[in-house]
Amino acid sequence: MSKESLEHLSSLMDGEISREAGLFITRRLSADDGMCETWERYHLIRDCIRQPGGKHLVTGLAEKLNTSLEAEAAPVTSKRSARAWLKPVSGLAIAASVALMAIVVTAPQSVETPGDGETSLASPAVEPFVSPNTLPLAPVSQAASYDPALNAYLLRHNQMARTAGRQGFVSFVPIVATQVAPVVETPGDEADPVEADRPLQTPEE
Amino acid sequence: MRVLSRQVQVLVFLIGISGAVAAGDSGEARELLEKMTTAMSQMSYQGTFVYVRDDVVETMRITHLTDETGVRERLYSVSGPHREVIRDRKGVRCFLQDSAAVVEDQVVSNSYFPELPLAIIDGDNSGYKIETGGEARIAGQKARRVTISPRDKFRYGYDFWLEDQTGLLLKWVLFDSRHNPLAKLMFTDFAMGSAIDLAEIESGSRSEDFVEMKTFSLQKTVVTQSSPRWQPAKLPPGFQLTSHSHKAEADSVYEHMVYSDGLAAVSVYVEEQGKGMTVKPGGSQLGTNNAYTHTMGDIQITVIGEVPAITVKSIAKEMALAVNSN
Repeated sequence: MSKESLEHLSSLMDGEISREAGLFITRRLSADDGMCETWERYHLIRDCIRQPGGKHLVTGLAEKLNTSLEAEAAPVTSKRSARAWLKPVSGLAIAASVALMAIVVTAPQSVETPGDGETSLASPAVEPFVSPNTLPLAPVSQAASYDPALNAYLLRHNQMARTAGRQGFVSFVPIVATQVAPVVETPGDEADPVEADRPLQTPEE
Repeated sequence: MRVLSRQVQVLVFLIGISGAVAAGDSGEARELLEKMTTAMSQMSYQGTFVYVRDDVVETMRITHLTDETGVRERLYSVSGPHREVIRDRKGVRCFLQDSAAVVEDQVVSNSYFPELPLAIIDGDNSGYKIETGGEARIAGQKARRVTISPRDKFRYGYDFWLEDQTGLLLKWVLFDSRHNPLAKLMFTDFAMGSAIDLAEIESGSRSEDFVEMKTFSLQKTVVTQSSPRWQPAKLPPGFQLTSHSHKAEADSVYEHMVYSDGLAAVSVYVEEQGKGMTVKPGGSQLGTNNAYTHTMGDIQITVIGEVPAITVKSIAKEMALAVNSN
C-alpha cells in the first residue's frame, strides 16, 4: 500500500478528511483487503494503547463491508424508488461508510440491510461525511494559544537535558503533537501529601 | 529449637535469594537502558508511530540517520496540520504550519557536568524503582519491557518496550505516581539499518519556511562549570545540577540551569523581564511537559520539564539569588 494511502487512512481515522475523500477511501476499503487489514490494525493499536485488554476488536471488516454493499445494491422497493434511482452511485459508499461506522464505533453486530432503503440512501446524502472515528472532528492540533516562547524554551531544554528518560525524538513529539494550553491547577498542588514523606531537599554543593 | 532454627535458615535463604533476584533484575534493567541510550543515538531507524495523549491520537513518522556526516533526524505529523522538527548538525528547526510560527535553535555545546550514571536512578535514595518484565511483539519486532516507577509525585514513571536485539525503543508509556498513563507512543511499522528509505530524511517544507527567531534570548550563551548565581534553596529529592549556561555579556542577566534526577530533567531559565521572551506568569502545559513562570521584581524565572506541575512550581518558587553571588 502506498504511503499516500496510509496517510489518507490515518486522516480518516482522525476525522480530518473531506467528505469526497472519505467516500473514496470507503470505496477502496470495500475492495482492498490489504487496506482493510491496515484499518483494522490501526484501530486495534489505538484501542490497545488506550485501553489495554479492552474488547474493541474489529475483525472481518472487508467481509462486512462487502455484505453491506451487496445488500445495498439490491433493488430498493419503496414508494420513492424512482427518486432513489436518481441518487448518485456514491450513495452506496455513504451507506457503506455508515455501516463501517456501525461496525467500528458500536459493538460489532451482524450487518443487516436497513429496512427502509429510502432512509439509508437519502439521509446521509445531505449530511456531511461522518468519520467512523470516535474522536471529535476538529483537527487534532488545536491552532490556538500558541506560545512560541515556551516552545523555544522546550527546544533548548531538549538539547541540554539528555537523560535516559528523554530518548531522542520522543522529547520532540509534544512539539509536533500539541499546542500550549493553560494548566488547570488542582487544589492538591499546594498541599501534596507526598511532600510530607519526601520533602524538598537542600541541593548538594 | 532445631526445627525453628531450620525455619529461620530457610527464611534467611529465601530473603537472600529474593534480594539477589531483585538486584539482578535492576542490573538487567540498567543494561537494557544503557543499550537503548546507545542505540537511539547511534543507529539508523525509521518508522510510523501512534502517539496518544488524553483522548487525542496522532500519527507521526520518524527518520533517524547516523552516518559519516553525523546525525540527521526528521520527525513530522502524518495527519492534521503539517508540523515538523528537523535535527542535524546545524541545530533544531521546527515548522508548525497551523500556527504560522517557526522556532529555530542553535547547536548547543555539551555540558561540562558529567552525565549522571544510570545507577543513580536505582539507588536507595533514588526517586524510582526499576524492573524488567514482559515480552511482546511490536511492529513485527520482538520487544522487552523495562518499567521505571516513581516513588513520589515529583516525577513521572516510564515503560520502555525495547527491540530485543538492538535496544531501540518500540513503545513508550509515561505514567504518573498512581500509574495512570499520561501519554503513549507505539510504532506500527519499523525499519532499521539498510532497510530504511533515505529519501525521507529530506523535508517537504521549503527552506524559506524555516525562519530563525532572532529575538530569542538564549542565543549567544556560553556553557560553564561555574556555580549559578540563581539557585533553588530546595529541590525535590534526587535532583541535582547537570548543566549551567549564561549569557556571554557580563552585564546581562541570563542563566539556564538543568537539574536532573538521572531520568527526568528540569530546565530553569532566569532572565531580565523585557530583555528576552515574555511568558505569562503561572502554569502552562505543552504536551506532557509542564512549565511554571514566576516573576521576582525585574527577574523572570521559567521552569520547564517533563515532570508534574508541582515539581516545576516548587522549583520556581524556591529560586533565589545566591548569597555569595556578586
